[in-house]
Amino acid sequence: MSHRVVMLWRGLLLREVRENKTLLLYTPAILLVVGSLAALQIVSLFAPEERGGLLSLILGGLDGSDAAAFAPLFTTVSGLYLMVMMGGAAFYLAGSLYSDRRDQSYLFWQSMPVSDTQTVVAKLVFALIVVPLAYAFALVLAALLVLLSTALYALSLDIPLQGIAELADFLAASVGLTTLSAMLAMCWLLPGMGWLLLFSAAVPRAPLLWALSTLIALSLLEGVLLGSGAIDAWIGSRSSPWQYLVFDRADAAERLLSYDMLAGFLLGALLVAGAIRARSFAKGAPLRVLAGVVAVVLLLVIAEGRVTQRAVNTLQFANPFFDFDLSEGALSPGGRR
Amino acid sequence: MDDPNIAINVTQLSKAFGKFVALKNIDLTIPRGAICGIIGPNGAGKTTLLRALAGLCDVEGQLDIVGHDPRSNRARLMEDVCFIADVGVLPANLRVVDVIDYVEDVHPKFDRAKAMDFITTTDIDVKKRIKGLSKGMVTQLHLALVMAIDVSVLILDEPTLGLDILYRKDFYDRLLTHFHDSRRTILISTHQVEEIESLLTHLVFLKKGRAVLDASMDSIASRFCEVVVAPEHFSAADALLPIAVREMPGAARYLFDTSSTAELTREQLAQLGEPRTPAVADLFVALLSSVTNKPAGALA
Repeated sequence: MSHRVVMLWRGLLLREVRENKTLLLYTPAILLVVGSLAALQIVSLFAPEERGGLLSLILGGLDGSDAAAFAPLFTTVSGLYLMVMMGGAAFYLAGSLYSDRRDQSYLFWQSMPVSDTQTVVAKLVFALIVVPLAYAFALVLAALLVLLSTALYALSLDIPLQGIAELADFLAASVGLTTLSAMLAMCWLLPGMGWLLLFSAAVPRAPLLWALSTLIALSLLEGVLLGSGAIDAWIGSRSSPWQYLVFDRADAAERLLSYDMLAGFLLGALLVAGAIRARSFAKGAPLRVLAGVVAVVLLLVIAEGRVTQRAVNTLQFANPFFDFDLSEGALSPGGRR
Repeated sequence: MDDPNIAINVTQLSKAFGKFVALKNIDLTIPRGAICGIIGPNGAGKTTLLRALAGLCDVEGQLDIVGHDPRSNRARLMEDVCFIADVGVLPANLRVVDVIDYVEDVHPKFDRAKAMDFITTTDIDVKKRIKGLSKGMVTQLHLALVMAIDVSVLILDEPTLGLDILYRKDFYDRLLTHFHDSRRTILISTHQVEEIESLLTHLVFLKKGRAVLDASMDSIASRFCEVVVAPEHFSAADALLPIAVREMPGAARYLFDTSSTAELTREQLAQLGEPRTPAVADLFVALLSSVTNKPAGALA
């Protein structure tokens, strides 16, 4: 890769970082502070004389155990944290190709030697990779904070530090799984990201509102006109956290290469290509591009639904604690989308 | 484009927004090194024309800007062309230094030291956000960025709109001293013709999306002639078919297009009074009120 390409991408990504500090820095920082305060609150529930006993109980209990096995528990809880990240990313994507049109700064951005493809892909890379990494980094900080404060507190009370290594193992495994889950979540949501980017590039105003209401309207129309629920099934499946929360590292590769993930990549790529085309001011007619891409995506989703004949509202819980399929109460492996 | 002396070549350029015709069959040829003024009333199509040249709107027709078609490869084009739009468009939430960093990263022909040298001659604080700068400072900053980029074409759409006279004068002074040379081409659209008249080497008049004039200043000087005529010569002057007449106290200013009739000569006009080259503003008023659908580029 040439120096020029490296500089270009550095410039493009730094631009997103500078323009989106709330999403990238302040939100995880606030969550970190809130989390720390909550932890202090829990500690303060115990009387000061009880805390030492509790700590030695925990550290003693962890000693020699396979603490990392508890990591899935933490990952499940962190689903909420990931949802904040995804909500932020959704707002970011919906605004990404719209806000510079609204304030007309696109006239400056477009006057630089950056292609429309590079502009759109930079936004995608930011949401897909940079944002999850920033949120993972905040978790790493939180884990270090927990480890350090536990060790210092234990030392101050002369409690032996046995079990601290297991605590570190637990934290590392938890942060690792959560980061993997965050990455998988963004991959899983690629069609949604493409959808938002397309609307962000094309509609004259309120892209998030248009993106969501169009999706809901289309899914209702499908039900009324065709009697099928392929769009509904996609929405349901893509919005289920069990589709991307992983509890075992080995699961991640399997998820990444699953049929549904790859189908999502395909649809996402189509939508992103549409967003790039709609972004090309010199090619014009962004709404026509939007309509065309939406029509193609719709046909693909409905056709795929017909071929695979998967049950509507199928939710498979890929969770070690609940491993069953809710459709018709069957315990058979169901389709996940 | 084969001719290395031509910077911009536009053929049959048209653009409509619904039923509104913004540009209609525009033909333009602008040589390298020219400073070309795009003059026209509001809604004449100036902004549409300049944005089309910068690859920012879709148009019909042929476009060639230093060998590139802006519609097929805007990114490549923008390595050779800089564009300043008619609205203060630098990203309001970024700091000045962020914008400089960005341009340095993405533009291979940007010279940071040059931009910083320029900025130090102004009151711009690089740590401030763009939205904290005055309109004049934003324009100065944009100009600083553009001047520090080694491009061959500069497109300026109403660059000094809304600035006071000191900023406007400063802007054009800097443009001439720091940017312009024989291989660089500048396109400027503006309302304030008088202020840039002395800089221009070429002139394009737009009216309702059509180019009613596309000529070099030299050819304009030889083609158009203004004479202050005393009342006793009014009938003789009228007989020579002036393109505009403006009453003055005790006389009238007659504007002639010597290309309109073959017989009309400078000698004939000299008999009416002293012939001189008309001001661009007067020519503009005369041509835009008299010409309706006259084909452009007769003198290009």
